[in-house]
Amino acid sequence: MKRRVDKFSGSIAVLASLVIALPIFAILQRVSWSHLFSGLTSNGSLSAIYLTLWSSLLTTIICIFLGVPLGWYLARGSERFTKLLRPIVLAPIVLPPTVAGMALLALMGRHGLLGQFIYNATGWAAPFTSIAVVLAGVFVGLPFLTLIVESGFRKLSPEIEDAAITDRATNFHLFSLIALPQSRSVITTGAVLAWARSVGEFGATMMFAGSLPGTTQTWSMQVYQQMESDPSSAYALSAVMIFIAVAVIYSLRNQLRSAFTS
Amino acid sequence: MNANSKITKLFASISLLLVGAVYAPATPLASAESTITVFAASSMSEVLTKIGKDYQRANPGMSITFSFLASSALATQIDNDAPADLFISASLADIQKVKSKISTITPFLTNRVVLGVPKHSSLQRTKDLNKSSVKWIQCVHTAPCGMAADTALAAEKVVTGKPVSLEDNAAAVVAKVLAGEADAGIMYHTDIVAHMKELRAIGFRKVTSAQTTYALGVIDSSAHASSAEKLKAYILSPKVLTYLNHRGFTLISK
Repeated sequence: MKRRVDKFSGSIAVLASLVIALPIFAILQRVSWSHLFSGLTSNGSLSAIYLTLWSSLLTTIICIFLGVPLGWYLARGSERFTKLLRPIVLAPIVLPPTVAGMALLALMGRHGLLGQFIYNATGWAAPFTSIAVVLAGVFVGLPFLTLIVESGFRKLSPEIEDAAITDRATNFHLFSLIALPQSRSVITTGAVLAWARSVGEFGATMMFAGSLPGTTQTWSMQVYQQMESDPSSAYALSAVMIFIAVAVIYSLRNQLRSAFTS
Repeated sequence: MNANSKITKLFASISLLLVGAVYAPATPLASAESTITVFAASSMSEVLTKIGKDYQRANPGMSITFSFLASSALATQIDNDAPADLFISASLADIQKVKSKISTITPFLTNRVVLGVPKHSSLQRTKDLNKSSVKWIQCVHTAPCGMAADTALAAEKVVTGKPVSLEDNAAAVVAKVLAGEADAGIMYHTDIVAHMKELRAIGFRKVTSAQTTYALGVIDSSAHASSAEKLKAYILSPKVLTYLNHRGFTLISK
């Protein structure tokens, strides 16, 4: 079949692409390429990059571990519970990051609902620690993974499952041996979205974790701070972020496409 | 069919909202003759909000919009042609960064940083910050409150510990100490005055090193320059300066 696009959609598509591509182009042309390396290594930028990479990776692992079973429950659990549970666990997708930050403080702060017991018992509190960066990432990222994974599980063909049930597969087998292997690209997509959301997190992290180089000052916060003191370093950091974003989306193009179309 | 009509309805209501948003500014609720945008240091948010209200009450038709952030962040925005009419900076350094856009810069107040702790805190001296159990915070080094904190600590020479967070602006430091997330924070003397019931101050010994000078100026390219000049004159009037003095700011004698 020959691929055709009408002129109306085609021209809107061009406009839409420009809306996204132009700002990216504009920032790239401000980057001083000869000073890219020095921009990336100045004023603790490296420690911000390092912190962001390991904390977002840990965040993603936790999101997969928690979000895949949650997505399975939302897809297969009793509708009575899931219809109440779904709006709650997906809410952070819509929440402004600042509200997320306040919510995390209310729970895990020194005087928080849970945090006060932890603090009284151990003298430890989450705010101002790298753990808080991860917690903020999980809170905002987990719903994205859950949403994608649930919709993936819902699209699985019932025939394979019926056959497995006939062969006396247990409920756990249905999940681990039947559903999971068929959902690899969906889980990858969900994980990438959760990872991206946690890398970009700014407001919740700043409110809940604070901002200290090496401990809680993430890549996005470093860009914000360097914008005032050393713009060329902020542009260098932004450029690398853009390359990573484009590279991740490009290398996962097949998984992304099949997750959203199957 | 059903789904289609739902989507159509959704789009229709979204379009209505958008149209409303576009046309709303054309018919403002109050017939404001002039709207001035004031970029001001976050450490002045409480006093300026009150001053702004008084000014608008005395001048019907005048509307003031404040943007409160760290002065360094505001200077960066003004440098990038943000539509500000009046800039009130918590440091001379930050307002001088944009002196190409503000021809008259008027210093008018000073403030100093102190160590702010909750009223019933066991902390007594700045030296207590060295205890490993004490979590203390300050402003980021680029913000005026952070610069003043850095010089004060350097002059004091007794604090060897590090803060657990470099907060984005002065108001954020106060908020986290008030919330009890941090044991202490380097904040302005005026923040203590504003929260007398909850906080108390531990002063730095070398007061001059902990100081910062507030200055204000009308942006030259402002479309509301004359209104902004009037507001500036009001802020510099004896009545307002006396009020600021009562709230803990020190006046610069002419």
